[in-house]
This record gives sequence, structure tokens and C-alpha cells, in this order.
Amino acid sequence: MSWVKAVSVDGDVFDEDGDDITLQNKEWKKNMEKRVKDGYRDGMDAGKEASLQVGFNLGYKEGAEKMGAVGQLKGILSALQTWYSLQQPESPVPPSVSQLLRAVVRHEEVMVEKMSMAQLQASASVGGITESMEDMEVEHTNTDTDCRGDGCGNKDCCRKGAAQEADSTSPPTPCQTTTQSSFSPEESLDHLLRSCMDLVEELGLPEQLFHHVQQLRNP
Amino acid sequence: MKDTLNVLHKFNAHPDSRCWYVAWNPTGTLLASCGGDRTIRIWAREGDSWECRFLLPEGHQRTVRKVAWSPCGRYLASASFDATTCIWGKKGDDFECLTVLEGHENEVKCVAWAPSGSLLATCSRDKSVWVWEVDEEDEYECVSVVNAHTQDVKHVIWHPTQELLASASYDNTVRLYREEDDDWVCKATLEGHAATVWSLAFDPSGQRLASCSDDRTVKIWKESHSASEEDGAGTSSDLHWKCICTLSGFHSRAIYDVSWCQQTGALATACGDDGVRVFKEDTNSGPHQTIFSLSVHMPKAHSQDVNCVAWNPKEAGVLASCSDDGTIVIWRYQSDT
Amino acid sequence: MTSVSGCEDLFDCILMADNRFHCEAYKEGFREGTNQGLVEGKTHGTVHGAKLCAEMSFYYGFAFTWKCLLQSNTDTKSRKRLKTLESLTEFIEGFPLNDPQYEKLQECVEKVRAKFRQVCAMLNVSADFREYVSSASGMSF
Repeated sequence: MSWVKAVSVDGDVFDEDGDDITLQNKEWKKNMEKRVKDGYRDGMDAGKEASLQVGFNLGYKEGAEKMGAVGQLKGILSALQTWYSLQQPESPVPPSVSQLLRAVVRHEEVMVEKMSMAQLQASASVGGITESMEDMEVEHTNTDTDCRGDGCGNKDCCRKGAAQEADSTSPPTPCQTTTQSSFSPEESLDHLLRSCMDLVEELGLPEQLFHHVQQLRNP
Repeated sequence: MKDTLNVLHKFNAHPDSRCWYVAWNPTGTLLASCGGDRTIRIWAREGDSWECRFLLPEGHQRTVRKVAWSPCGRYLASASFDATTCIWGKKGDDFECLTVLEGHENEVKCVAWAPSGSLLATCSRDKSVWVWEVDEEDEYECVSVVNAHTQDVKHVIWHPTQELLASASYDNTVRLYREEDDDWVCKATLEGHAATVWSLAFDPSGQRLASCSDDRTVKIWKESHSASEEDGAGTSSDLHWKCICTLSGFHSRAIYDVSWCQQTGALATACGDDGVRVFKEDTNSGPHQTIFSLSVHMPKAHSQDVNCVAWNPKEAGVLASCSDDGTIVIWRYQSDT
Repeated sequence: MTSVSGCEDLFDCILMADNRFHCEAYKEGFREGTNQGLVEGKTHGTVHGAKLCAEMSFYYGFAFTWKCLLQSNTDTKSRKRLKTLESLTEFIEGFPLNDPQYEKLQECVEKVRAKFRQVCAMLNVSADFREYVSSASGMSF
């Protein structure tokens, strides 16, 4: 840290004087280093606080825009699957529908996985910085603190022994590094959309649906 | 003369299990009960004893938590932890399951018929309240799913005369709903209880609502027409209900149910301390002051938690209660005023 | 007097140094913190936005498709279903899903989820397709 160095350089000037001063100087140096550390930490906290929401908003829009088409495609194919299984319970759903649905689900999973990986990496790299800052007593502000405040103490958790009111928390996404390198989201999404259009035509489904999928290709 | 609560009958309704709930049919001649043994039984008085008139065929896979008679008395709805609601009707000499309402994600906690009989409400641990419409062909269709509560919804109840729905939840609140543009919408949130609100009861006129809670209190709420004019806040269609009375210090455990007698106006409670209590409104209670006082306390009314109390709709002062001990007790309440 | 003022100068000097170090360290920390916050917030936001939009788009695609499939039916039941499907697609179109700062976003999302569940119940669709709205299992009374 340049500031710590600056303190040392300034300090050296005094070192030429007597022991007494050296002692005072050491004390002073210590104080200055502490001031630097405090200042850095305060600045870090304030900077983070000021930018987290900005970053979140930017990311949110980006993420949302990426998923619109694939989400709809999944919805369309799921609807077709349920439609066929309700219309003709005795005969199986056209394999083309279930196959394409599986491909779309996989595509969506990979996209989300990629984003989650980036999230993990980001927090890991931030973690790294935090670690190296530890000797400077720079605290990592916990932005995820989510204290519900209303501890469940006297709630009916304990009513008749078995009541649990667990909130839905999604399990951590398992790390899957396979298929990442060869995956191009744009290219394969377009391919999936085209397959869906072919399918709608083949099965003689309403034209309106065909046009809707077509629109998803060129938003 | 002192107010009294005397046992008329006591019977083991759900042996080796819990009896969760009892419901009188509209004429007060039949009592339906449900329990942890997944069964629904219908009881009737025969001479000096109560007999099980119908044992409904196995319809549910898990605990049956509540039962409710339709206003016409021809149908019985049952809410079960198996995530379904069954509609039962009499076919010949037996009750048969006519329809199974599916849709809730998990345990259905309560079911209630609107006074018109054309609407049904259900609520669940999935935090939602569902409103179903019954058409001329007795087909049920979900008309609305409302996610207003933030936790498990324990109870639903309809206003006795209006199409107004109330629900109670583990999130400590009571919510009121009305229909608006084809959807049921939460129009008021009644906050004040410090723990789970277990049950609700409207007074005979529908002007007041009683709620009972895990916080060991009963609260009485009343619509305040002035509020909307005063603060001018909220949309004009919002409802304003205020707590006008809190009964605290009477119960030593959670209060699981409350019932408001349609004839006498007496309020009965079912408590986790095994007791049944009856409160009556003071004569000097008026529009500006509501006072309820304890009329009778029956400790050890059952040997375990009392889960439900229900006043007979026709016979004044006849009260049914049921408990974790599997029994049902029929009481006669007498008051000197 | 000169010695005193010199002393004061030195004192001032120390104070100034003290403030300067703190201040400049603060600035550097602020820059670093801002960068970190942006990166962290952005990756967080991306995942959040992606998941929510995928979910809402799924409902939209689902409802839109069923609308297409039912539109030629004229029976009462189909009409009722179409009306509910219509209200779901209209509602999703009606709020800014891509704006994380929209104050009623959460409220709207909850309403969409509720409406979707109603749609599923109306269509007799099996629970497999309700993965988004399902919550953790457990026990309660």
C-alpha cells in the first residue's frame, strides 16, 4: 500500500534522531498505519455500499434480457406437452415435443449455471482480496445479512412436536464445469427456436403460435 | 344463579387418534368430526346417546384437518393434509366423495362455504387462499388464488351475510378479501396478535370478528367506517377493521378455536390447556366500549388439548368440543342473564 | 515564542499528516470498494434477473400457447379458461419485469405465481409443471 510506504519514508527522516524520538516515532508510525487502515476500510465500506445496488440493477437487466426467449420456449413446450397428455391420455406425447423440451430445459440450466459460476467466481475473488486485506484489518462487509428479526421462539414450530415452517430456500447449484467451453448460447437458442417452429408446423398447431415463436427469434 | 357448563354427552369419536374438528349441520341435528386417523364421521343423537351414523369411506391419504357443511346441508367438504379437499354428498344411504379439489401444493388447513353456497374457500400451508366457484352442475372451478399471507394459512371463514372472506395465519395476521375485477383481493390486514392466529368467528350480525391466537389472547375486531374518511389514505375500496377488545389473562396456553353463538352471543374458546371457556358480553357494553367477561371456565374439559368448539346453530347453549384425546363432548351452557 | 510556534507547527503537521493519510487511504478504499461492489452486485443481479425473468417468461409462454390451443373452442368451460389465461398474459405484459427498481415488482411476481396456479388447477395440469412455485416440504398443523 502506497500510504504505508509513505509513512515509512516519512518515518525514516526522524530515525536519524535520538532513541527517545525513535520510540515516539515508532508510536507515531503505528498510529499512522492504523489511520491508514481505518481510512481504507471506511472507504471500502462506503464505496461498496454506494455501488452494490447500481451493480445489481445493471446485472439484473442483463440477466433478465438473456432469459426471456428461453423461458418462453420452455413454457410453450410445456404447454404442448400437457395439452397432448390431456387430449390423448392413451397415446404418448409426440416425442418431438418432449425431446425439444428436454433440450430447452438443459439449455436454460446451462445458462443459469454459467451465471451462477460467474457469481461464485466474483465472490471468490472478492474473498481473495478480503483475505489479503486481513492484515490491514479491512473487514469484509456482509451484504447478505438477512436477519428476519422475528426468531421463531414461541411460534408454533413446537406445536405438537413436528411443525416446521421452513421457508423455501433453493439448494446450492452443484458446480458443473462440463459442456461449458463448447456452448454458445445465442447460436443454440436460435437453433432451438427454429426447431420449435418446425415442430409447430409439423403438428399442424395454430399459426398464431408459429408467428409468436418466430418473433422470439428476432425480438 | 351462577353460569354453568354441564356435560350432556361424552364419546370417543376417534379412538387412539386426535379429533381435530367438529361441525354442526345447518339444522343442528348432525355433527361431523374429523381426525388424525384420516376418517370423517357423522354423529347423531339417538335417545340418550350419540351414535356414529356415517363413517365416510377412505377419501384422504392423511389427517383430515377440518370439515364444513354446505349452507343447504346436503354437502360436506373436508380439508386434508394430503393437499386435497373432498366434497361429499349423500347418495342413497351413504355419503360418497363427489369431487376432489386439487391444486394446493401441500396441507390444506381449512375449508369454508360462502353463505350463498356457490363459493368455497380453502387455505393451505402453501401460504395461499383459494376461492372456488360451484356451478349449476355441481362442478367446481378455481376462480382465484390469493397469496397475501407470508406464512401458513390456518383458517378461512366467510362473513355470514356478505361475500367477504377472512383468513388467519401463522404470520400473526388476519386478512380480509373481497372480489374485484374477477379476482379475490386482500382488502385489509388485521395486525395485533403476537403469534399464530389459529381461528376466527363472526358475531351473528357479521359486524364483529373474533380471532384467537397462540399468544393466548382473543381479539375482537370491528369495521370502522370512519377511518377511510379521516385519513384519506388507501383506495376507497379498502376495508378498515380495528381491534376493539382483547381478552387476555384468561388462557394459560394457545387458543386453538373460538365460536360465537348465533343465538346468545356467547363466545366459547378451545385452549391448549385442556380447558373450555365461555365469555359473555357485559350488559353495559355499548357501541363505544366492548367488554367481555369470563362466564364459565371448565378446566380439564378434555384430558388433552382442546382443538375445536362449536355452538349448535339451532339449539341455544348447546356446545360441542373435541380434543387431541380423541373425544367429543356435548355441553349445555346456562347463563343467568 | 518561536520555539512554541515551531512546536505548534509540528503538531499541526502531525495532525495534517494524520488526516491526509486517513483521507487518502479512504479515497483508495472507496475506489476499490466501488469496483468490488459493482462486480459483486452485478453478478448477483444477473443471476437474480435471469431466474425471475425465465420464470415469468415460462408462465407467459405456457399461457400464450394454451390460449392458442383453446381459442377455437366455444364451450363455457373453454371460455372461462381462456378468460383466465388472457388475464395472466395481460398481467405479465403489464408490468416492467426488467426493472429491478420497480417498487411493486415483488407484488406483481406474487400475483403472477398465484394466477399461474389457478390456471394449472383450471386446466387440470399435473403438479410437475409447478416447479417454480413449490416450496420446501415439512410438517405443520
